[in-house]
Amino acid sequence: MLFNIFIWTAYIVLFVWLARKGRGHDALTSGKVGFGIQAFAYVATYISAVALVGFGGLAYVYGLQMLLVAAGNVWLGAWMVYRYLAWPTRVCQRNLGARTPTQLLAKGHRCPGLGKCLALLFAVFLGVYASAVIKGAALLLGQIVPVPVWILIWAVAIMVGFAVFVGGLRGVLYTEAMQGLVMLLGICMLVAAVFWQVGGPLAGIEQLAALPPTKLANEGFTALSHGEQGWFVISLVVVTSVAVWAQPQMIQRHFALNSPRQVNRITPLAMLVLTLLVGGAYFVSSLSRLFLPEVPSPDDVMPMLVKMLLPNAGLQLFVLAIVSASLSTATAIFHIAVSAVSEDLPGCKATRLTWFCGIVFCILLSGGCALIRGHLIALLCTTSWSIVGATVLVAYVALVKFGRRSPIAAWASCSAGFFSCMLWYLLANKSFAVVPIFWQEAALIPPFFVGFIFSLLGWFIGWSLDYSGRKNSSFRPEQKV
Amino acid sequence: MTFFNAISRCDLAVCIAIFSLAGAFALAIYDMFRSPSEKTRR
Repeated sequence: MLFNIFIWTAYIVLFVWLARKGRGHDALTSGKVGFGIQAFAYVATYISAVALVGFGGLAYVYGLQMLLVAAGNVWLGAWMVYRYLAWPTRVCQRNLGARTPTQLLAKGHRCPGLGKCLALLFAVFLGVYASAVIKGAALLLGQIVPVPVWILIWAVAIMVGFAVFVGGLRGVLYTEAMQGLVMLLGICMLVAAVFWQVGGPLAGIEQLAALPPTKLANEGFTALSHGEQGWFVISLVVVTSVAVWAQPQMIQRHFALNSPRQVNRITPLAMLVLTLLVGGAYFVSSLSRLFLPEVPSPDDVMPMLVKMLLPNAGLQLFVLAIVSASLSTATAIFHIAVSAVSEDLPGCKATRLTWFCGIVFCILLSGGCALIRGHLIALLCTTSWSIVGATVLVAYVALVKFGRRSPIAAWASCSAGFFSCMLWYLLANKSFAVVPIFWQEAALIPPFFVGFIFSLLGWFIGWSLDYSGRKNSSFRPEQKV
Repeated sequence: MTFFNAISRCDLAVCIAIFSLAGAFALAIYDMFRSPSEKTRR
């Protein structure tokens, strides 16, 4: 008991101390931040509790094929981002004088109106999405703290708001890095315990291969399933590894970069941490099928695994790791939503007061939505990642990687991506369709794919129509604008 | 229990996933411990 109190107090004290690192800095700029902090912060923002607990549970159901998601995250979601997008983003941001991802796109494509729309999109979707993340952390805390969940929801929302208010971007990066480290420790501990239980990774693979196929792992637990199930895994790879490129909270992580040399130091560390985190989590969750009894829901796999294998100290550390995963994602999302409300929407630099008001708004929105169960809130939470990715991806990559600036193409691309992705959810998604689905095969296509294709089409149509934009699109990241 | 015994039980997609994760791990370790002069040569 004493140990539990010590570990949680130490965590909160460290969290507050690190959040205060941002004091005296502008809330939207980070100043100089070391490569280790940035690498851990990137991974912690990327990996939420959904990835560890939710997808970990899916690994129990689907087997080792879920390692494809981990590999996609590492290579597409980290290596490719740092190799091709991170530094060009930083140079564009610096040259344009953009303080937020919204301003980067609005100033880059010379259309302030688009910036307002994107700010609204980020404030609503990310503000509501944060509610799901906060609720996840509160539910988990509820397992070990004997306090009603509604109190925990507000406590977590206020804690996240505190980090964003006191620390700004710099404080958020430092707290995220600490949380990333806790996540790494928790997962490494679990990996060691599972390997010890099954006799090592190789013995585990052999035993897993001997298990009979199931409905979802229809080719066995060491093979990619065929049909709908295999397609689901592949679509997870793309949605979690490519849509991440254009999530504003991830784009903002590049704003803290100092030099291309720093990018070279961040890349291997981020890849290493991500490999251990997601690779380790999915691998041991697959192996857990060898000794865990049948579970009622995939979401129960990780908690059951931890309760079965780890001693109390390990259990506390693992709960801390999962809470950290939620908090780090929530602080990053909050920061974007608050900057959208307090600076991007009004169109002027945020003051301390507007920043505080933005935080109060986000706390009320997220905390309130976490307490209400509604179809619209569920829709916003589930669709946020895909819709934001489909809306922003093409215009963002065209700007930072290819130096293409066109207001017409940006508008066409963003609106085509947003509406097609949203419509696909409402017409063809099994959970959210408001009309009967006539073409079942089409329903298998993830909305992000549809949104991305239409966004690309919208870009090319807009680009072909925008003669003056093409003529003046001589922007290169290296040039001072 | 050899590595090849275990890996031969997996299909191509899972092998690709395992090797790409192992590759990322190895590359990250190699890159972290390379000397700064080697890095600037890239």
